[in-house]
Amino acid sequence: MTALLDARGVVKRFGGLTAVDGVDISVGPGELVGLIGPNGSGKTTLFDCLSRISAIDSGSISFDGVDITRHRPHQVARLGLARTFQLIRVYRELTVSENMELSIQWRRVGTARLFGRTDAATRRRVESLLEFLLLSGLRHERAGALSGGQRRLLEIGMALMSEPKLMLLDEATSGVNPTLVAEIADRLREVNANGVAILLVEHNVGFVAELCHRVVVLDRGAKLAEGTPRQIMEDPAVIEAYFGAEGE
Amino acid sequence: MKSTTSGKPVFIARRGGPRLRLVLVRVSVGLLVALAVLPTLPGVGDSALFTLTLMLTSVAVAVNWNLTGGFTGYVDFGHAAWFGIGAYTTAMLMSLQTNGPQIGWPAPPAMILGAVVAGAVAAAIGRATMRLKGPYFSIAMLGTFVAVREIVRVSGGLTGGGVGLTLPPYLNRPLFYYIQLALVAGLVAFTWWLRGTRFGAALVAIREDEVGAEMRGINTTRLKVIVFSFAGFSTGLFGGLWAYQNTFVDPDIAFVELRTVDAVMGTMLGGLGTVAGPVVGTVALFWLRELLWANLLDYHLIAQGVLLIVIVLFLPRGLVGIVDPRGASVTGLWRRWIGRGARENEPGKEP
Amino acid sequence: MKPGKWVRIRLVVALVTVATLILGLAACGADEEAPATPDQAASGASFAGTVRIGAALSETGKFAVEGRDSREGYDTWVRWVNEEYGGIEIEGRRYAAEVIYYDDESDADTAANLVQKLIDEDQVDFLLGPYSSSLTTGASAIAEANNVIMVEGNGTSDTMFERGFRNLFLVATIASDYTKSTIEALAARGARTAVIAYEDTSFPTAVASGARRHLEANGIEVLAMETYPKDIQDASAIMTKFRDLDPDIFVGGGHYNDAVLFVNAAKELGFAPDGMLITVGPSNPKLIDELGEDLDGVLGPTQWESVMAYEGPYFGSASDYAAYYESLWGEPPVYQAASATAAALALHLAIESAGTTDTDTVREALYALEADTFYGPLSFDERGVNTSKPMGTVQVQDGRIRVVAPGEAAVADLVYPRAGAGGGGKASAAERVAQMLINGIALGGMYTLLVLGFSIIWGVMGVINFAHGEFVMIGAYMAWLANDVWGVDPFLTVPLVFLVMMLVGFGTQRLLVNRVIDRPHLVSLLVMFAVAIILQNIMKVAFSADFRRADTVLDGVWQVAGEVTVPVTRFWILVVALVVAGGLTLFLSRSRLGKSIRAAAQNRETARIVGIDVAKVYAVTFAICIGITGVAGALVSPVLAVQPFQGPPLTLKAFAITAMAGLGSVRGALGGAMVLGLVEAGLAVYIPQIGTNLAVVASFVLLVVALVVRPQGLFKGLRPVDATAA
Repeated sequence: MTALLDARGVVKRFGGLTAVDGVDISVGPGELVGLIGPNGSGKTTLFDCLSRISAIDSGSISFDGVDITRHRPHQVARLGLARTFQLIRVYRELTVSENMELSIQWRRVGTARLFGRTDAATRRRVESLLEFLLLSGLRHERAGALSGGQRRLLEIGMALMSEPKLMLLDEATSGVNPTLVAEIADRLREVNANGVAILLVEHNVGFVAELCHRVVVLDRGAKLAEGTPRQIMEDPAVIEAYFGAEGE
Repeated sequence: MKSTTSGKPVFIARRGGPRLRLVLVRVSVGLLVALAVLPTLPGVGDSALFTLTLMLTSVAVAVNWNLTGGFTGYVDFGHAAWFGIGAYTTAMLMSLQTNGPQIGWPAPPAMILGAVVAGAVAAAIGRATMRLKGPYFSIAMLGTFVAVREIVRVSGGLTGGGVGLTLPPYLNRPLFYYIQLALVAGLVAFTWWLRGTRFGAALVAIREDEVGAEMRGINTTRLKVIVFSFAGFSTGLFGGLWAYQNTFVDPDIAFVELRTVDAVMGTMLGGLGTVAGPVVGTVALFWLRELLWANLLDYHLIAQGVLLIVIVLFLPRGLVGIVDPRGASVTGLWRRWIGRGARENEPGKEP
Repeated sequence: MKPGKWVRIRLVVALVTVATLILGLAACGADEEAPATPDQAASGASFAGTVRIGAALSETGKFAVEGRDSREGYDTWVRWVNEEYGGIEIEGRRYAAEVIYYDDESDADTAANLVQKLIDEDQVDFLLGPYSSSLTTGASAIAEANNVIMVEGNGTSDTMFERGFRNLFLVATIASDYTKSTIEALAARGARTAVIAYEDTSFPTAVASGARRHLEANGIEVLAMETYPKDIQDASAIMTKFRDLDPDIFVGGGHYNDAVLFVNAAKELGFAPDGMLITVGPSNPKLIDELGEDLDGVLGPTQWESVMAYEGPYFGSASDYAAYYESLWGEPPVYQAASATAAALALHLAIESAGTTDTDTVREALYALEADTFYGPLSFDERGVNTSKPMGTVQVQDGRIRVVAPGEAAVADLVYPRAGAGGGGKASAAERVAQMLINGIALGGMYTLLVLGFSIIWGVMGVINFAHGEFVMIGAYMAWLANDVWGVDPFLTVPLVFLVMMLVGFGTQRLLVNRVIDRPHLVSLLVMFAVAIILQNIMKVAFSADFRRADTVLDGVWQVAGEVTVPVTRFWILVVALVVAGGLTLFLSRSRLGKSIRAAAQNRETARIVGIDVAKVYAVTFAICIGITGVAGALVSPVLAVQPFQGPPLTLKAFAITAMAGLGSVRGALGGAMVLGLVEAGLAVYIPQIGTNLAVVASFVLLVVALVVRPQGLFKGLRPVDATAA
């Protein structure tokens, strides 16, 4: 199987601290993979490395057959890798529609076309995605005025706007009320059914077990285990590191 | 990656509702017509037009500064460098001499080339410095400004060094007034239009969250450099116009820190990151100087410093923000001084 | 609130805004007050009318003092012509003179604007010049374009007389001839070699290129010509270079303040040429007050002195004029005032001989004018320049200003070589390298002391103190005041300055910095920027913009080997810097408070959780850092010029060093300061002519290059440098 995303030996250090220590991770086309681990195990840092926001100290990353180890984030996005953030990043002073319109697949838009107004096709796409994410009533609101859960959805919508091949979702359910969590799970399944691969970082282990085909466990920057949700739940090392560390 | 919460100033970006917008458009058109017929009125002589022309120059510099400082949130503390480069290029071309006859360029192409040179230098420097964030960028630009002035000073053969260059005096005040009025009107209309395009929205996105914008496929560096060079080009053009009207340039009057300070002050006073802000703020600043500070003599810079603190702390959305329902209120101001409370309007802060 | 109401409120606000804007425009555009009518001006006397003359002069800004002198000069003529002389005589009828003034704020745009206004709205018949070449150049172009005659005495740069203007006349000696009489006198006394240093602005450049011409014409070899930038605070690099060339005479200067720098640096470095000619300053008694006996023997050109033997039918002799002037204004006239009076007088004489106020006729009369006056002979060449009046030379002798040249005006003999001159010889290449290293390390020690407070504040609380240089400036003024009033040595003021500045720092932190610490960077940057502007101008109002210097007993140089010297004051500053740096390192690593400070810098939240009162730690840190910064100011007060605007370059240097060397890193600050000091010293010594200019920009270039090449910073500090945008 040729992996869509393939990272080998990723190392990231902050001063004396090694946050990610030689992790291999791969995601196949259309796969739905969960990434879990205790607090501070390096999940978000790994995401930052994969999406090229952080430079890595060693290792290599390829996406869709292209070596992206030295790419800039916008170049990665243009290859079809989208992500959301643990601390939500929407453009708070822009409206919901503007947020969405700015998250199109820029590969097809030259700088010159930036100076036009948004075309009808994009607007229709924004409409249908907002509909899909239950946000259509809020399209003229400032993103800063939305609730935390609504902003999560908006971020997912922005990721979907870019017609991604792979979405990296960082804590897509944190701060979201439980009824909305189920909605999000439904939406993600639907997206995944349409062929978009998803790699998600989650605290909510139940959510991961229910949704994912495969789960990767990180602990202290290194890969601890990998397998189906069932295998992982039964792995004693995982129980020790993860649930032990959670203190519950 | 918590660094995104820093370096992002306070803004009002959303344009008001349709009715307010209509009012603004009508007011702007009315004002433009009034300014256009002004020279034909009795009692309005060359010196009144000259005053207005100087004010238009400041307005233009503030509008250009706002493109990077307000829209993208990159505060350029060296913006006056582009003004000086435009002024000097124009002066150098117009006063070109050989041993034989005068071969100075006529003014229009000299000024246009001056603007192009300013834009090109801005593009080259911006490519390097716009990779720096927040305060690093600001101070790197201040350093650039000082360095450019020193380079002009020590390149005596080309620039006349500290002695400067003189230009043939051609002082048709109404002509310059109309040229600058048209350019400023065009520039403001252009900013207004630009803010409505995806490019404009993308600039605001850079200010709001540059990492996010980059991650969503926007080539932020390119956009920043484009808008930065345009601002340099446009300010350079007004520098050239100024040089021609002033009839001479030397490093200390072409490269003046106060021009940047005025642009920052005017924009902050009017409303950072808004289309109308720099215009309203700069006019208000001129007006304040003329009416109030003329009597304060040396104290007026102290007053100006106090005013800047007051604006930054209490009126972060500027005068334009007052018209905006979400802007500052008296109680809001009080809460702001007392403690937290009124900070929810600041971007980059999770509630 | 209902939306409808909001729209109404907004409409009202918008309309009010527009109304005020239009009113504002009208106020800018229209003339507020009608000028006095001729009848009013002439009331009480039997004048047939009024000759209206306009002038833009600086009442505020950097030329405020000279602007006031010029105005008193013009007003002296007005009082004299209306009250003593009986009015300007035109075809047998007497006309009153009236001068309309506006304040140009020392700003070229404003001056141009006001001259336009005088011509256009006040419809003056003639113009008198503003103060300074840079303002006159722009103003004269407007006069030329409107065909209005401008006579002036205080804008002497050559360039404005090379434009072919027909309406600009200068009564004073043109800049390029400023040094002529002095150089001729020195050549006659056997001077053979010279060096020149000049500020790279319009007027000093014209003076210096003229000096070079006159030197060469008199067979004196020019060994070196150096420029320096306008805001220079320290001339020691240039003086070291000159000392190693061992010239007979030194020619230097630009403005009054530079004289302070040159005399200081020469003394500090043991540079004592036989003749020292400083173009502006020695004729001003204020300089003797400031520099005392260090100024003895220094030569300076002067446009005019009241002791000169000039005389004419108007105002009588030079001393008669001075007496009349003093009776009006209560102080003796400086030459700027005399030049202004002479300009007005030249215009007056031309109008009388023309018998009309018609521009073309008066212009012909000006070209034809030949007159002897209290100011010297007046006659204009085809450029409009008065070439018949020679420049005078003064020498400070025993604390008094004596005219020593030209012969017909001299009251004392030229002392050459000056007392205490001589010693030293040409330096060898090895000696120059050694000297450069010593200068660089001494400069580095100074920068270390200047940067520490800034670096730690940035490292600990993430605040860029844009007013850092202003706190240095306040410390320097405190030391200068103590020195000037009570004669206390700056080194002894350190404890007091430290305590007072700690209080200042504590107050600033509590009142302002604390409120902006959680806000975006721009907010704190702008607030501190505003604080800087406020402090600068408060000090300017209080102490004027004149350069000051404090005296210390730890001055002079130690001769180490051959021509190599160690500047004593700087050596002790270096010692203090090392002590402070060592103490800070120990304090931060060992003491409880120091550990709290480091913890708060690493992670504010964690520090809070473990029970550290972060707000208090910040306030104390700020207080200590401002204390150190004030001490730095006090110690450099004998070395750098003390003046209200000394801060910004220091802030920028502190920023450059900190950003390169790591935020809050004491060792980094020391290393970065040494690198910068050595680079600046090297550039100043080894780049001919423009080395000092390059040294000024070196820190910025280093900064921009370092940041762009390595945005994550070169060294580790309390807080990582991270300048990457995205």
